[in-house]
Amino acid sequence: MSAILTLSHIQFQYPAFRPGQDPVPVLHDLSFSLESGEKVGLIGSNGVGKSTLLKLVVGLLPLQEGTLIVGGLPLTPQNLPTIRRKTGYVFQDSESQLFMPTVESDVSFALRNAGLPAEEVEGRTAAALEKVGMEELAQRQIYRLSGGQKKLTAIAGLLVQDPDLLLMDEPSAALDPRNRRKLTEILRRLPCAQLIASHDLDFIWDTCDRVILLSDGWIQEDGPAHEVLSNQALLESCGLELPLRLQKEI
Amino acid sequence: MKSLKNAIETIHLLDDLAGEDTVLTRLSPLAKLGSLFIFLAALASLGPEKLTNALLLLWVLPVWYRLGRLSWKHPLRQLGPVLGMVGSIGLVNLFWFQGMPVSLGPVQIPGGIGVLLLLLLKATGCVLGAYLLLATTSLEKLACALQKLPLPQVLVISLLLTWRYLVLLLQEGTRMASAYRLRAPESRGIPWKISGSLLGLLFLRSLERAQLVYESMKLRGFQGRFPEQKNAGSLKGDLLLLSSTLAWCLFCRFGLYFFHI
Repeated sequence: MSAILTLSHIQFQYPAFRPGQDPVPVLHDLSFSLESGEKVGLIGSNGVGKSTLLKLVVGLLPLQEGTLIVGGLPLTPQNLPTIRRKTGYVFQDSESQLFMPTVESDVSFALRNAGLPAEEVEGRTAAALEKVGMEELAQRQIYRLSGGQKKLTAIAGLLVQDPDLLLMDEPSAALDPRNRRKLTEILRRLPCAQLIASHDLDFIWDTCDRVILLSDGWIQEDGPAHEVLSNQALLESCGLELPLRLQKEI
Repeated sequence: MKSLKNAIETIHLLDDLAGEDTVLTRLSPLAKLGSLFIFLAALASLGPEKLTNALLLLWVLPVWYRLGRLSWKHPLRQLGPVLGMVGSIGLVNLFWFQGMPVSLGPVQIPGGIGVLLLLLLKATGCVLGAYLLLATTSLEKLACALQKLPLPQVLVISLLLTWRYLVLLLQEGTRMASAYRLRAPESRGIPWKISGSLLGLLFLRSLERAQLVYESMKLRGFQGRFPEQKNAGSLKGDLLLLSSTLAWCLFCRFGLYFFHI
Protein backbone atom coordinates (compact mmCIF):
# COMPACT_ATOMS: atom_id res chain seq x y z
CA MET A 1 0.00 0.00 0.00
CA SER A 2 1.12 3.59 -0.67
CA ALA A 3 0.47 6.67 1.43
CA ILE A 4 -2.41 8.79 0.13
CA LEU A 5 -1.93 11.44 2.80
CA THR A 6 1.24 12.36 4.66
CA LEU A 7 1.52 15.09 7.25
CA SER A 8 4.94 16.03 8.64
CA HIS A 9 5.40 18.41 11.55
CA ILE A 10 2.23 20.38 10.88
CA GLN A 11 1.70 23.39 13.12
CA PHE A 12 -1.17 25.82 12.88
CA GLN A 13 -2.32 28.86 14.81
CA TYR A 14 -5.24 31.21 14.29
CA PRO A 15 -4.42 34.93 14.28
CA ALA A 16 -5.01 36.93 17.44
CA PHE A 17 -8.56 38.19 17.93
CA ARG A 18 -7.32 41.66 18.83
CA PRO A 19 -4.10 43.58 18.15
CA GLY A 20 -1.62 43.03 20.94
CA GLN A 21 -2.95 39.59 21.81
CA ASP A 22 -1.07 36.38 21.04
CA PRO A 23 -2.13 34.12 18.17
CA VAL A 24 -4.12 31.04 19.17
CA PRO A 25 -2.10 27.86 18.60
CA VAL A 26 -4.29 24.94 17.55
CA LEU A 27 -2.14 22.17 16.09
CA HIS A 28 1.34 21.24 17.31
CA ASP A 29 3.86 19.17 15.39
CA LEU A 30 1.39 16.71 13.86
CA SER A 31 2.88 13.89 11.82
CA PHE A 32 1.06 10.85 10.50
CA SER A 33 0.12 9.23 7.24
CA LEU A 34 -2.85 7.41 5.72
CA GLU A 35 -2.44 4.48 3.38
CA SER A 36 -4.71 4.00 0.35
CA GLY A 37 -8.04 2.56 1.41
CA GLU A 38 -7.34 3.03 5.13
CA LYS A 39 -10.19 4.22 7.35
CA VAL A 40 -9.01 6.44 10.16
CA GLY A 41 -11.03 8.11 12.89
CA LEU A 42 -9.95 11.49 14.22
CA ILE A 43 -11.27 11.96 17.73
CA GLY A 44 -10.86 14.49 20.50
CA SER A 45 -12.92 16.85 22.63
CA ASN A 46 -14.34 20.14 21.32
CA GLY A 47 -11.78 22.64 20.03
CA VAL A 48 -8.78 20.31 19.76
CA GLY A 49 -8.34 21.10 16.06
CA LYS A 50 -10.09 18.25 14.23
CA SER A 51 -11.94 20.50 11.76
CA THR A 52 -8.88 22.73 11.40
CA LEU A 53 -6.80 19.72 10.41
CA LEU A 54 -9.34 18.62 7.78
CA LYS A 55 -9.49 22.15 6.34
CA LEU A 56 -5.70 22.25 6.09
CA VAL A 57 -5.68 19.07 4.01
CA VAL A 58 -7.93 20.56 1.33
CA GLY A 59 -6.28 23.97 1.45
CA LEU A 60 -9.18 25.88 2.96
CA LEU A 61 -6.72 27.10 5.58
CA PRO A 62 -3.17 28.09 4.69
CA LEU A 63 -0.38 25.73 5.62
CA GLN A 64 1.87 27.61 8.06
CA GLU A 65 4.50 25.07 9.04
CA GLY A 66 5.33 21.52 8.02
CA THR A 67 4.64 19.61 4.84
CA LEU A 68 1.45 18.03 3.63
CA ILE A 69 1.40 15.56 0.74
CA VAL A 70 -1.89 14.38 -0.77
CA GLY A 71 -1.80 11.62 -3.39
CA GLY A 72 1.89 12.17 -3.93
CA LEU A 73 1.51 15.92 -4.49
CA PRO A 74 2.78 18.47 -1.99
CA LEU A 75 0.07 20.92 -0.94
CA THR A 76 0.93 24.05 -2.92
CA PRO A 77 -1.33 26.60 -4.66
CA GLN A 78 -0.34 25.04 -8.01
CA ASN A 79 -1.34 21.52 -6.93
CA LEU A 80 -4.51 22.57 -5.14
CA PRO A 81 -6.98 21.98 -8.03
CA THR A 82 -5.59 18.44 -8.59
CA ILE A 83 -5.63 17.69 -4.87
CA ARG A 84 -9.21 18.90 -4.59
CA ARG A 85 -10.26 16.68 -7.48
CA LYS A 86 -8.86 13.67 -5.63
CA THR A 87 -10.28 14.66 -2.26
CA GLY A 88 -13.85 14.87 -0.97
CA TYR A 89 -14.71 16.89 2.12
CA VAL A 90 -18.03 16.67 3.95
CA PHE A 91 -18.61 19.76 6.09
CA GLN A 92 -19.88 19.66 9.65
CA ASP A 93 -22.80 21.82 8.49
CA SER A 94 -23.63 19.95 5.31
CA GLU A 95 -26.65 22.18 4.61
CA SER A 96 -24.26 24.97 3.67
CA GLN A 97 -22.46 22.59 1.35
CA LEU A 98 -25.44 22.30 -0.99
CA PHE A 99 -25.83 25.28 -3.28
CA MET A 100 -27.74 24.08 -6.32
CA PRO A 101 -31.56 23.97 -6.43
CA THR A 102 -32.14 20.21 -6.81
CA VAL A 103 -30.45 17.05 -5.53
CA GLU A 104 -29.46 15.93 -9.03
CA SER A 105 -28.02 19.30 -10.07
CA ASP A 106 -26.04 19.58 -6.83
CA VAL A 107 -24.61 16.06 -6.96
CA SER A 108 -23.60 16.44 -10.61
CA PHE A 109 -22.08 19.91 -10.17
CA ALA A 110 -18.43 18.80 -9.98
CA LEU A 111 -18.75 16.60 -13.07
CA ARG A 112 -20.49 19.24 -15.17
CA ASN A 113 -17.96 21.75 -13.94
CA ALA A 114 -15.20 19.47 -15.20
CA GLY A 115 -16.89 19.49 -18.62
CA LEU A 116 -17.60 15.74 -18.80
CA PRO A 117 -20.03 14.45 -21.46
CA ALA A 118 -23.72 14.51 -20.49
CA GLU A 119 -24.15 10.70 -20.60
CA GLU A 120 -21.23 10.17 -18.25
CA VAL A 121 -22.50 12.88 -15.89
CA GLU A 122 -25.95 11.28 -15.77
CA GLY A 123 -24.59 7.78 -15.25
CA ARG A 124 -22.17 8.69 -12.50
CA THR A 125 -24.71 10.93 -10.75
CA ALA A 126 -27.30 8.14 -10.76
CA ALA A 127 -24.71 5.68 -9.42
CA ALA A 128 -23.65 8.04 -6.61
CA LEU A 129 -27.27 8.68 -5.63
CA GLU A 130 -27.95 4.95 -5.63
CA LYS A 131 -24.98 4.35 -3.33
CA VAL A 132 -26.52 6.60 -0.67
CA GLY A 133 -30.10 5.47 -1.36
CA MET A 134 -31.25 8.84 -2.68
CA GLU A 135 -32.04 7.87 -6.28
CA GLU A 136 -35.79 8.46 -5.85
CA LEU A 137 -35.20 11.99 -4.58
CA ALA A 138 -33.00 13.08 -7.50
CA GLN A 139 -35.38 15.79 -8.71
CA ARG A 140 -36.36 17.04 -5.26
CA GLN A 141 -35.58 20.63 -4.26
CA ILE A 142 -32.81 20.83 -1.67
CA TYR A 143 -34.89 22.86 0.77
CA ARG A 144 -37.46 20.05 0.92
CA LEU A 145 -34.92 17.55 2.26
CA SER A 146 -34.55 16.56 5.91
CA GLY A 147 -31.24 17.11 7.74
CA GLY A 148 -30.22 13.49 7.18
CA GLN A 149 -31.12 13.57 3.49
CA LYS A 150 -29.06 16.74 3.10
CA LYS A 151 -26.10 14.97 4.66
CA LEU A 152 -26.49 12.00 2.29
CA THR A 153 -26.80 14.37 -0.68
CA ALA A 154 -23.58 16.10 0.35
CA ILE A 155 -21.85 12.72 0.55
CA ALA A 156 -23.21 11.71 -2.88
CA GLY A 157 -21.83 14.99 -4.27
CA LEU A 158 -18.37 13.82 -3.22
CA LEU A 159 -18.72 10.16 -4.17
CA VAL A 160 -19.58 11.22 -7.70
CA GLN A 161 -16.01 12.53 -8.03
CA ASP A 162 -14.60 9.09 -7.20
CA PRO A 163 -12.21 10.53 -4.59
CA ASP A 164 -9.04 8.78 -3.44
CA LEU A 165 -9.40 10.40 -0.05
CA LEU A 166 -12.60 11.25 1.80
CA LEU A 167 -12.54 13.72 4.70
CA MET A 168 -15.64 13.89 6.86
CA ASP A 169 -16.44 16.25 9.70
CA GLU A 170 -19.06 14.80 12.06
CA PRO A 171 -20.76 12.76 9.33
CA SER A 172 -23.17 11.00 11.69
CA ALA A 173 -24.54 14.21 13.24
CA ALA A 174 -28.22 14.82 12.34
CA LEU A 175 -28.72 11.24 11.18
CA ASP A 176 -31.38 8.97 12.65
CA PRO A 177 -30.31 5.41 13.62
CA ARG A 178 -31.36 3.91 10.28
CA ASN A 179 -29.54 6.53 8.19
CA ARG A 180 -26.55 6.29 10.51
CA ARG A 181 -26.41 2.53 9.93
CA LYS A 182 -26.80 3.12 6.20
CA LEU A 183 -23.91 5.59 6.24
CA THR A 184 -21.74 3.14 8.18
CA GLU A 185 -22.39 0.48 5.53
CA ILE A 186 -21.67 2.92 2.69
CA LEU A 187 -18.37 4.01 4.25
CA ARG A 188 -17.29 0.45 4.95
CA ARG A 189 -17.92 -0.51 1.32
CA LEU A 190 -16.07 2.49 -0.14
CA PRO A 191 -12.58 1.59 -1.30
CA CYS A 192 -11.10 5.09 -0.83
CA ALA A 193 -9.08 6.23 2.18
CA GLN A 194 -11.16 8.01 4.81
CA LEU A 195 -10.33 10.42 7.59
CA ILE A 196 -13.41 10.84 9.78
CA ALA A 197 -13.53 13.48 12.52
CA SER A 198 -16.27 12.71 15.02
CA HIS A 199 -17.41 12.76 18.62
CA ASP A 200 -19.59 9.78 17.90
CA LEU A 201 -17.21 7.10 19.11
CA ASP A 202 -19.65 4.29 18.37
CA PHE A 203 -19.73 5.45 14.74
CA ILE A 204 -15.91 5.51 14.68
CA TRP A 205 -15.88 2.03 16.22
CA ASP A 206 -18.10 0.76 13.38
CA THR A 207 -16.34 2.47 10.49
CA CYS A 208 -12.65 2.87 11.26
CA ASP A 209 -9.74 0.50 11.63
CA ARG A 210 -7.42 3.05 13.15
CA VAL A 211 -7.92 6.04 15.45
CA ILE A 212 -5.91 9.18 16.02
CA LEU A 213 -6.68 10.82 19.35
CA LEU A 214 -6.00 14.56 19.54
CA SER A 215 -5.64 16.47 22.77
CA ASP A 216 -4.87 20.20 22.89
CA GLY A 217 -3.60 20.01 19.32
CA TRP A 218 -1.13 17.17 19.98
CA ILE A 219 -1.47 13.57 18.88
CA GLN A 220 -2.06 11.72 22.13
CA GLU A 221 -2.50 8.27 20.65
CA ASP A 222 -2.47 6.65 17.22
CA GLY A 223 -3.40 3.00 17.04
CA PRO A 224 -5.96 0.30 16.22
CA ALA A 225 -9.50 1.64 16.67
CA HIS A 226 -10.85 -0.93 19.08
CA GLU A 227 -7.73 -0.74 21.23
CA VAL A 228 -7.79 3.06 21.58
CA LEU A 229 -11.57 3.29 21.96
CA SER A 230 -11.64 0.77 24.79
CA ASN A 231 -8.91 2.52 26.80
CA GLN A 232 -11.11 4.29 29.33
CA ALA A 233 -8.28 6.00 31.23
CA LEU A 234 -6.81 7.43 28.04
CA LEU A 235 -10.14 8.66 26.71
CA GLU A 236 -11.08 10.27 30.02
CA SER A 237 -7.71 12.01 30.27
CA CYS A 238 -8.56 13.63 26.91
CA GLY A 239 -12.06 14.69 27.91
CA LEU A 240 -13.86 11.80 26.19
CA GLU A 241 -15.88 8.81 27.34
CA LEU A 242 -15.99 5.20 26.27
CA PRO A 243 -18.28 4.40 23.33
CA LEU A 244 -21.82 3.73 24.53
CA ARG A 245 -21.69 0.07 23.60
CA LEU A 246 -18.70 -0.43 25.94
CA GLN A 247 -20.33 1.59 28.71
CA LYS A 248 -23.28 -0.81 28.63
CA GLU A 249 -20.96 -3.77 28.91
CA ILE A 250 -19.37 -2.23 31.99
CA MET B 1 -40.69 37.30 11.09
CA LYS B 2 -43.69 36.60 8.88
CA SER B 3 -42.27 38.74 6.09
CA LEU B 4 -38.94 36.89 6.27
CA LYS B 5 -40.74 33.57 5.98
CA ASN B 6 -42.81 34.90 3.08
CA ALA B 7 -39.66 36.01 1.27
CA ILE B 8 -38.07 32.56 1.70
CA GLU B 9 -41.27 30.89 0.52
CA THR B 10 -41.37 33.14 -2.56
CA ILE B 11 -37.81 32.18 -3.49
CA HIS B 12 -38.57 28.49 -2.96
CA LEU B 13 -41.76 28.81 -4.99
CA LEU B 14 -39.83 30.37 -7.88
CA ASP B 15 -37.29 27.53 -7.70
CA ASP B 16 -40.13 24.98 -7.74
CA LEU B 17 -41.86 26.62 -10.70
CA ALA B 18 -38.63 26.85 -12.66
CA GLY B 19 -38.16 23.09 -12.17
CA GLU B 20 -41.53 22.22 -13.74
CA ASP B 21 -41.91 20.97 -17.29
CA THR B 22 -43.75 23.62 -19.36
CA VAL B 23 -43.36 25.11 -22.82
CA LEU B 24 -41.48 28.07 -21.39
CA THR B 25 -39.21 26.17 -18.97
CA ARG B 26 -38.05 24.00 -21.88
CA LEU B 27 -36.93 27.00 -23.94
CA SER B 28 -33.43 28.37 -23.84
CA PRO B 29 -32.82 30.99 -21.12
CA LEU B 30 -31.18 33.23 -23.73
CA ALA B 31 -34.37 33.27 -25.84
CA LYS B 32 -36.47 34.14 -22.78
CA LEU B 33 -34.02 36.77 -21.64
CA GLY B 34 -33.91 38.27 -25.14
CA SER B 35 -37.70 38.31 -25.43
CA LEU B 36 -38.08 39.95 -22.04
CA PHE B 37 -35.45 42.52 -22.96
CA ILE B 38 -37.27 43.38 -26.22
CA PHE B 39 -40.57 43.64 -24.35
CA LEU B 40 -39.17 45.87 -21.60
CA ALA B 41 -37.27 48.05 -24.09
CA ALA B 42 -40.45 48.56 -26.11
CA LEU B 43 -42.43 49.34 -22.95
CA ALA B 44 -39.81 51.76 -21.65
CA SER B 45 -39.67 53.59 -24.97
CA LEU B 46 -43.33 54.61 -24.83
CA GLY B 47 -44.25 58.13 -23.76
CA PRO B 48 -47.58 59.28 -22.24
CA GLU B 49 -48.99 59.95 -25.71
CA LYS B 50 -48.66 56.20 -26.44
CA LEU B 51 -50.75 55.01 -23.49
CA THR B 52 -52.94 52.81 -25.72
CA ASN B 53 -49.83 51.18 -27.18
CA ALA B 54 -48.52 50.39 -23.69
CA LEU B 55 -51.85 48.87 -22.70
CA LEU B 56 -51.87 46.73 -25.82
CA LEU B 57 -48.22 45.71 -25.37
CA LEU B 58 -48.98 44.22 -21.95
CA TRP B 59 -51.35 41.71 -23.55
CA VAL B 60 -48.35 39.54 -24.34
CA LEU B 61 -48.06 38.76 -20.62
CA PRO B 62 -51.24 36.63 -20.34
CA VAL B 63 -50.02 34.62 -23.32
CA TRP B 64 -46.64 34.02 -21.71
CA TYR B 65 -48.19 33.19 -18.34
CA ARG B 66 -50.48 30.71 -20.08
CA LEU B 67 -47.51 29.07 -21.84
CA GLY B 68 -45.64 28.84 -18.55
CA ARG B 69 -48.78 27.51 -16.79
CA LEU B 70 -48.30 30.17 -14.11
CA SER B 71 -50.98 31.35 -11.74
CA TRP B 72 -51.63 35.11 -11.48
CA LYS B 73 -52.34 35.08 -7.78
CA HIS B 74 -48.80 35.13 -6.46
CA PRO B 75 -47.24 37.60 -8.95
CA LEU B 76 -50.14 40.00 -8.46
CA ARG B 77 -49.53 39.87 -4.72
CA GLN B 78 -45.89 40.85 -5.39
CA LEU B 79 -47.08 43.60 -7.72
CA GLY B 80 -49.31 45.24 -5.10
CA PRO B 81 -46.61 47.00 -3.02
CA VAL B 82 -44.71 48.08 -6.15
CA LEU B 83 -47.82 49.68 -7.65
CA GLY B 84 -48.48 51.38 -4.31
CA MET B 85 -45.00 52.89 -4.27
CA VAL B 86 -44.91 53.89 -7.94
CA GLY B 87 -48.48 55.23 -7.71
CA SER B 88 -47.67 57.41 -4.70
CA ILE B 89 -44.65 58.88 -6.52
CA GLY B 90 -46.65 59.28 -9.75
CA LEU B 91 -49.46 61.12 -7.97
CA VAL B 92 -47.49 64.36 -8.16
CA ASN B 93 -48.09 64.34 -11.92
CA LEU B 94 -51.77 64.96 -11.30
CA PHE B 95 -50.93 68.40 -9.90
CA TRP B 96 -47.78 69.47 -11.71
CA PHE B 97 -47.89 67.90 -15.16
CA GLN B 98 -48.38 70.72 -17.68
CA GLY B 99 -48.54 68.65 -20.90
CA MET B 100 -51.35 68.13 -23.36
CA PRO B 101 -54.23 65.70 -22.73
CA VAL B 102 -53.49 62.20 -24.00
CA SER B 103 -55.75 59.68 -25.67
CA LEU B 104 -56.56 56.30 -24.24
CA GLY B 105 -58.20 54.62 -27.20
CA PRO B 106 -61.04 56.93 -28.22
CA VAL B 107 -61.10 58.76 -24.86
CA GLN B 108 -59.11 61.93 -24.06
CA ILE B 109 -57.74 62.11 -20.51
CA PRO B 110 -55.68 64.82 -18.74
CA GLY B 111 -51.91 64.48 -19.28
CA GLY B 112 -51.16 64.06 -15.55
CA ILE B 113 -53.45 61.05 -15.31
CA GLY B 114 -51.91 59.70 -18.50
CA VAL B 115 -48.38 59.88 -17.02
CA LEU B 116 -49.56 58.24 -13.80
CA LEU B 117 -51.25 55.42 -15.73
CA LEU B 118 -48.18 54.93 -17.90
CA LEU B 119 -45.93 54.65 -14.83
CA LEU B 120 -48.28 52.04 -13.37
CA LEU B 121 -48.35 50.10 -16.63
CA LYS B 122 -44.55 50.15 -16.88
CA ALA B 123 -44.19 48.97 -13.29
CA THR B 124 -46.69 46.18 -13.99
CA GLY B 125 -44.76 45.09 -17.07
CA CYS B 126 -41.44 45.07 -15.21
CA VAL B 127 -42.64 43.13 -12.17
CA LEU B 128 -44.72 40.57 -14.05
CA GLY B 129 -42.01 40.14 -16.70
CA ALA B 130 -39.24 39.61 -14.14
CA TYR B 131 -41.46 37.21 -12.18
CA LEU B 132 -42.16 35.26 -15.37
CA LEU B 133 -38.46 34.95 -16.16
CA LEU B 134 -37.55 33.75 -12.65
CA ALA B 135 -40.51 31.36 -12.50
CA THR B 136 -39.59 29.69 -15.78
CA THR B 137 -35.77 29.76 -15.57
CA SER B 138 -33.61 28.70 -12.65
CA LEU B 139 -30.96 31.24 -11.78
CA GLU B 140 -28.21 28.72 -12.57
CA LYS B 141 -29.54 28.39 -16.13
CA LEU B 142 -29.85 32.14 -16.37
CA ALA B 143 -26.25 32.56 -15.23
CA CYS B 144 -25.14 30.06 -17.90
CA ALA B 145 -27.02 32.06 -20.51
CA LEU B 146 -25.48 35.33 -19.31
CA GLN B 147 -22.02 33.75 -19.52
CA LYS B 148 -22.54 33.41 -23.27
CA LEU B 149 -23.10 37.16 -23.60
CA PRO B 150 -20.19 39.58 -23.65
CA LEU B 151 -20.73 40.54 -20.03
CA PRO B 152 -18.05 40.72 -17.33
CA GLN B 153 -17.82 37.29 -15.68
CA VAL B 154 -17.75 38.85 -12.23
CA LEU B 155 -21.16 40.42 -12.88
CA VAL B 156 -22.74 37.07 -13.74
CA ILE B 157 -21.23 35.28 -10.74
CA SER B 158 -22.21 38.16 -8.44
CA LEU B 159 -25.79 37.92 -9.66
CA LEU B 160 -25.97 34.22 -8.98
CA LEU B 161 -24.25 34.35 -5.62
CA THR B 162 -26.32 37.34 -4.50
CA TRP B 163 -29.45 35.28 -5.12
CA ARG B 164 -28.10 32.31 -3.17
CA TYR B 165 -26.75 34.50 -0.37
CA LEU B 166 -30.05 36.30 -0.14
CA VAL B 167 -31.64 32.98 0.79
CA LEU B 168 -28.95 32.38 3.43
CA LEU B 169 -29.48 35.88 4.84
CA LEU B 170 -33.21 35.32 5.07
CA GLN B 171 -32.77 31.88 6.62
CA GLU B 172 -30.38 33.23 9.24
CA GLY B 173 -32.78 36.11 9.92
CA THR B 174 -35.64 33.66 10.49
CA ARG B 175 -33.56 31.51 12.81
CA MET B 176 -32.47 34.49 14.89
CA ALA B 177 -36.00 35.89 15.07
CA SER B 178 -37.33 32.48 16.15
CA ALA B 179 -34.61 32.13 18.79
CA TYR B 180 -35.39 35.63 20.08
CA ARG B 181 -39.11 34.98 20.28
CA LEU B 182 -38.59 31.71 22.14
CA ARG B 183 -36.43 33.40 24.73
CA ALA B 184 -38.54 36.54 25.04
CA PRO B 185 -42.11 35.23 24.67
CA GLU B 186 -43.65 38.30 26.28
CA SER B 187 -41.94 40.71 23.91
CA ARG B 188 -43.86 42.03 20.89
CA GLY B 189 -41.29 42.25 18.13
CA ILE B 190 -37.60 43.03 18.50
CA PRO B 191 -36.94 46.24 20.48
CA TRP B 192 -34.90 49.00 18.82
CA LYS B 193 -32.37 48.85 21.63
CA ILE B 194 -31.06 45.45 20.57
CA SER B 195 -31.96 45.49 16.88
CA GLY B 196 -28.56 47.01 15.96
CA SER B 197 -26.55 44.24 17.56
CA LEU B 198 -28.90 41.61 16.16
CA LEU B 199 -28.50 43.07 12.68
CA GLY B 200 -24.70 42.98 13.01
CA LEU B 201 -24.87 39.39 14.17
CA LEU B 202 -27.16 38.52 11.29
CA PHE B 203 -24.64 39.82 8.77
CA LEU B 204 -21.76 38.01 10.47
CA ARG B 205 -23.65 34.72 10.53
CA SER B 206 -24.77 35.13 6.93
CA LEU B 207 -21.20 35.90 5.87
CA GLU B 208 -19.97 32.82 7.68
CA ARG B 209 -22.50 30.61 5.89
CA ALA B 210 -21.78 32.31 2.58
CA GLN B 211 -18.10 31.54 3.14
CA LEU B 212 -18.98 27.85 3.66
CA VAL B 213 -20.98 27.79 0.42
CA TYR B 214 -18.12 29.37 -1.48
CA GLU B 215 -15.61 26.92 0.04
CA SER B 216 -17.84 24.05 -0.97
CA MET B 217 -18.00 25.37 -4.53
CA LYS B 218 -14.22 25.74 -4.69
CA LEU B 219 -13.73 22.21 -3.38
CA ARG B 220 -15.92 20.87 -6.17
CA GLY B 221 -13.82 22.52 -8.83
CA PHE B 222 -15.57 25.88 -9.25
CA GLN B 223 -13.18 28.34 -10.83
CA GLY B 224 -15.44 31.26 -11.64
CA ARG B 225 -17.48 29.76 -14.45
CA PHE B 226 -20.73 27.87 -14.20
CA PRO B 227 -21.08 24.56 -16.06
CA GLU B 228 -23.42 24.36 -19.05
CA GLN B 229 -27.02 23.32 -18.41
CA LYS B 230 -28.94 21.42 -21.04
CA ASN B 231 -32.32 22.56 -22.38
CA ALA B 232 -35.12 20.25 -23.37
CA GLY B 233 -36.54 22.70 -25.93
CA SER B 234 -35.64 23.15 -29.58
CA LEU B 235 -34.03 26.00 -31.50
CA LYS B 236 -37.28 26.37 -33.44
CA GLY B 237 -39.17 27.12 -30.24
CA ASP B 238 -36.55 29.69 -29.19
CA LEU B 239 -36.72 31.43 -32.56
CA LEU B 240 -40.52 31.39 -32.52
CA LEU B 241 -40.62 33.06 -29.10
CA LEU B 242 -38.06 35.68 -30.08
CA SER B 243 -39.60 36.49 -33.46
CA SER B 244 -43.18 36.61 -32.19
CA THR B 245 -42.15 38.89 -29.30
CA LEU B 246 -40.25 41.14 -31.67
CA ALA B 247 -43.17 41.29 -34.11
CA TRP B 248 -45.68 42.06 -31.34
CA CYS B 249 -43.47 44.76 -29.82
CA LEU B 250 -42.82 46.38 -33.20
CA PHE B 251 -46.55 46.33 -33.95
CA CYS B 252 -47.44 47.89 -30.60
CA ARG B 253 -44.64 50.44 -30.83
CA PHE B 254 -45.07 51.56 -34.46
CA GLY B 255 -47.87 49.57 -36.12
CA LEU B 256 -50.82 51.28 -34.45
CA TYR B 257 -49.89 54.50 -36.25
CA PHE B 258 -50.77 52.88 -39.56
CA PHE B 259 -54.12 51.68 -38.23
CA HIS B 260 -54.81 55.25 -36.96
CA ILE B 261 -55.63 54.01 -33.47
